Amino acid sequence: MNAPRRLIEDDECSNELRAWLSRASASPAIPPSVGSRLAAYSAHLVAGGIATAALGTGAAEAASAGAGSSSVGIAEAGAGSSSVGTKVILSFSSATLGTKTAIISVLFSSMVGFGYVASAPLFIHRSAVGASQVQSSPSSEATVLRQTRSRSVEAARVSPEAQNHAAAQEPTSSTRSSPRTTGTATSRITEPLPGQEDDSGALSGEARVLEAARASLGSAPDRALSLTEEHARHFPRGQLGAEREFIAIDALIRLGRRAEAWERARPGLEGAPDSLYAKRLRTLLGEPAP
Amino acid sequence: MTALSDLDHQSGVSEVAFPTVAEIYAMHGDFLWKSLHRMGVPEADLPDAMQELLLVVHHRISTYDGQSKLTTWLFGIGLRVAATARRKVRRRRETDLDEGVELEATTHRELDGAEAVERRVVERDAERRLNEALESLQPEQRVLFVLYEVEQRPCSEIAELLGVPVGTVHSRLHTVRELFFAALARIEKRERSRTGGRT
Repeated sequence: MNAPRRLIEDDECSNELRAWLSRASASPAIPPSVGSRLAAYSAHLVAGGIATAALGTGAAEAASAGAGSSSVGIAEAGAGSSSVGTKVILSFSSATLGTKTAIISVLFSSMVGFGYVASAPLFIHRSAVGASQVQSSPSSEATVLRQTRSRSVEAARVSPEAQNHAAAQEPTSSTRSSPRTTGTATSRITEPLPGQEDDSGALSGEARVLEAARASLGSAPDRALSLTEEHARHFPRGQLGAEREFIAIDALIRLGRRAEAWERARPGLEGAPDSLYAKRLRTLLGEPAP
Repeated sequence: MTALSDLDHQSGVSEVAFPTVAEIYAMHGDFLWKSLHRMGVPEADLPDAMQELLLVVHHRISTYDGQSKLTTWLFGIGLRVAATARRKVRRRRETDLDEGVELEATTHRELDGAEAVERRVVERDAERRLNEALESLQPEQRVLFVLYEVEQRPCSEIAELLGVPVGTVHSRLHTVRELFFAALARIEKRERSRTGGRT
């Protein structure tokens, strides 16, 4: 089947329709003011991010993400898997990143309207921590630099062969605790969308519970575990089940309940053993199964 | 205009096992923003929808296994976020009165002659019907329609974005177009019945 002739070029189409199509403009770009807030928001997520915590090998990462002329820098210093909630600096000026001066940014004050900040840990103070290596990008352009990458990230690097594989992984695991590999992208795009039946606030609610759980991991892993149970109870068909399981497993390890952690991780490890999720689990679990 | 096929190559993200959401935003933020708009998220709601999308990406990045293009994977998440955002908008509209439109028409009526006003009202009615027909499409159908019919992107680019063969894009375009015209016909029929055939 060939591509249909574009409506705007089709003389048989009504003038109204063709005029409407020609008036419809291309989608707008992100306004700079919104762009900088979104960059700050994503930087904030990374600062307290699960990915870094899960991979925590003691390596420090520095990343800067900018939008337009502004840049947002983050430095995070982690020590083992307890890197959640460590010292973070946020600044619009890359020049300040190299200093040891503690900086409190007013960044988050501009994010109040976004609604999620209140539920997430705020740590916008930086001090010299361990082997933290903070480097900044000299460029004000939107660049991302990873100065130091943890060994586990390197180990989990995706092979080009894997990337060329035609099958696409369904990003939603729903009630399962492990990511699943299903059909092709073709089937994914035409299937009813998981979560469509959910209330509009459900996803945000899910994320908030998990943010709270993740934030508790370092100081109160038992609370983190309870929150993951809350999540499972309130969102039995939630979209963030895989992440919930990851947090729960992390909490079990911190509580010294390694056997339970392994048992809980088993579906994720066996379901798709070569997936990044499974590799991430193995990194978290560390040693061979007890 | 940046070719969709260039997006992953430009970013180099495909070489990184775990791109952070900040990296993804820096490299693909504009693409995601535009995609949400193409999927039917109103401009005023884009910041909220985008934030929601970033949050979901942050939580789901561990499930990205690199087997599909990162942009395709992100696009799939965008579809879900857009569907949620559109439901919110629909609910809001159900509770809103269309006072703004009436007020605007009154103002024009006062300023212009009756003929000009009538012409503008007719044009606006046509536009409203077409917008409603577009609105009736599902986000994934709508984005296909917008990419091809409004932005006039080549099918090869659209295929790459959706992660499907070009032939599938062609067949879906035919289907989406049929859905669009069927919706338009329904809307026109409904309005004719309301006005007793006086349209």
